[in-house]
Amino acid sequence: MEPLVNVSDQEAGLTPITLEGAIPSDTVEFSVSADPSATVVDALNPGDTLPEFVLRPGMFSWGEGEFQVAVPLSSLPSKVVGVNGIVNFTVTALDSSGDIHTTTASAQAVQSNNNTQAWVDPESGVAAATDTESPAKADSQAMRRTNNTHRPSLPQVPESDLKDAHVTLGKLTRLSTSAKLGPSKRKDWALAGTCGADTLVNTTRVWSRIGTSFPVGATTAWMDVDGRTSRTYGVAVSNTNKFGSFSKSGSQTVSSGWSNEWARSGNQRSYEVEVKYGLYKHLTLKYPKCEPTYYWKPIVETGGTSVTNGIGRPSWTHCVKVVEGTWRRYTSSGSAYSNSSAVNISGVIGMDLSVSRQYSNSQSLNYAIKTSKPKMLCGNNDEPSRAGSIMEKFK
Amino acid sequence: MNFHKLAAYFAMASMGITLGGCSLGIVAGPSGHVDGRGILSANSSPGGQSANRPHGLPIAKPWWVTFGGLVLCSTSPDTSIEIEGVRLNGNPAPLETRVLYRSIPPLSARSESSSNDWILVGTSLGTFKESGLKGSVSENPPVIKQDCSDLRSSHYALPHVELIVEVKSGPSGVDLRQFLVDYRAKGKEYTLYIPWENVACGTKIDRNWCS
Repeated sequence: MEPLVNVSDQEAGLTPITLEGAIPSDTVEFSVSADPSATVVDALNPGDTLPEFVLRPGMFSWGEGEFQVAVPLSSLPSKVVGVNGIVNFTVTALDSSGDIHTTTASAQAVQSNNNTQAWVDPESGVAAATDTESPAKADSQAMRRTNNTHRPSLPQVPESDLKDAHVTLGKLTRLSTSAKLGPSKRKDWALAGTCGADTLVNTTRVWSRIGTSFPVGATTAWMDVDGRTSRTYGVAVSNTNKFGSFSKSGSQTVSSGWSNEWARSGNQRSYEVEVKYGLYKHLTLKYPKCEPTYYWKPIVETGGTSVTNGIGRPSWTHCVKVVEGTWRRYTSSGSAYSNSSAVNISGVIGMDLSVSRQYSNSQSLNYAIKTSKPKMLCGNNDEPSRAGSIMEKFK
Repeated sequence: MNFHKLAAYFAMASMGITLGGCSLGIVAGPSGHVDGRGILSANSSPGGQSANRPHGLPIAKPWWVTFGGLVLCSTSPDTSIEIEGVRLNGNPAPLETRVLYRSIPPLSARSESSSNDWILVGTSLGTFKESGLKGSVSENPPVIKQDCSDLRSSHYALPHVELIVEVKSGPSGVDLRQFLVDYRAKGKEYTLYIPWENVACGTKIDRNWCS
């Protein structure tokens, strides 16, 4: 594969690398599309056309088992640019046996203090550490974005954080098909656009866990989330849309426009938010017919919040001694909260999906510690100052 | 200023700078970096902890509290880091401070007592000596060689150094907004900014920190 962007162009911010990843070595066709933004999709009804944007040749390159996408934000239509410059991409490859390989990912456009533009993983914490536009301003910009003249203000990040910035995708999900085509028909395969636009088949609302707390004794704990945050939810894909036929296929990031401070409680509990998911139908031409691929993708958080009390206590061992006082984690670095099956969508597709969210100044976990005897706070995957989840224990 | 002589001192400069997107009230210098983006790391991320005044203690009586939970390590393999000094920014300021480096030996050498005696400090009333936790402490700045990723992947079974601050608080309380750790590595001077807030509760502390 010939790289689209050389190092000097990337450093000069001329054409920032957006996505990179691996594809099958026998890929015969490849496409990338940018999904319409949450604001656009949330206004659609089942059966409506999804106004996606199929990236043109020159915006990506592929070959020898890898691909690279490099597109400046200014080359994307406003309809695909979400709040805080987040864009959701769908990558699809067709291998020589006719199987489709696909995944999804979000990239967030950011800007350095000398106006270099780059793309980062929204969950990397690079952009979360900065003070981005206010939710109200972002919402109003999203509503006004009817042409290319209105752009969201991009998060400002230090130049040093943007060295070699881009999003690296995980392994693509393979969808086997019975409609195998021989090499002579390869010219008749087309991944995007040939069979018409994607459609929104259906929507559903599901609950997703975004955090947990495990106080003991008289200690109370709570989460606090405001509208400047985002969370990344799993995507599922199937070529039949039958219950149980879906596979996990990447993830997409949703920005919140709501805020909530959960009441303090001494319960072992999880914190949940309601997420609207959409079933997207994408058509691939496999001559002489068009075959569908179905994706369940997160569209928007509805603002609904909940808790589940009485969840089981884990047994984590990365501990620090604590005395009576308050403990807070509002970090944007360290470990994010992540849970591979936090999105409760199994009733719809036969499996639950993942969630990941960074802590930030506007998304915190708090413990008001009371001690009648010695206590500890313990992290699940690191010491508490960096861990993704925290529990309290008696020492 | 002699960084080699261990002394925590308070920077009174009011000039703000931007470092890693975080506004500091004290000057870190051109080679300053936030935790996670330089050679020295304290294994921290933004957040903080507070300790309530001990029950029944007369309001006018000063008290000691120990803050820790910060593990010093190197993000650059095979790099020795000379710690030169720690700067603390307190408002309200403490009456007295002591910066200590606690050496925690490898897991195999921690056998003589309960594993809970070797946990990090977090918060503890009194001085470190009164915490009941094990490990030798020194006021002498150490040389840090432990690789951060090796340490994490060993689940902290490898030897490591915890940065600890003992604080004497008056009636107003103490709010240490951040630490700056000056160090030398690869022949250059750097400053690590640790965005971890430590609070001793008192009359001038925000109620959000103190119940």
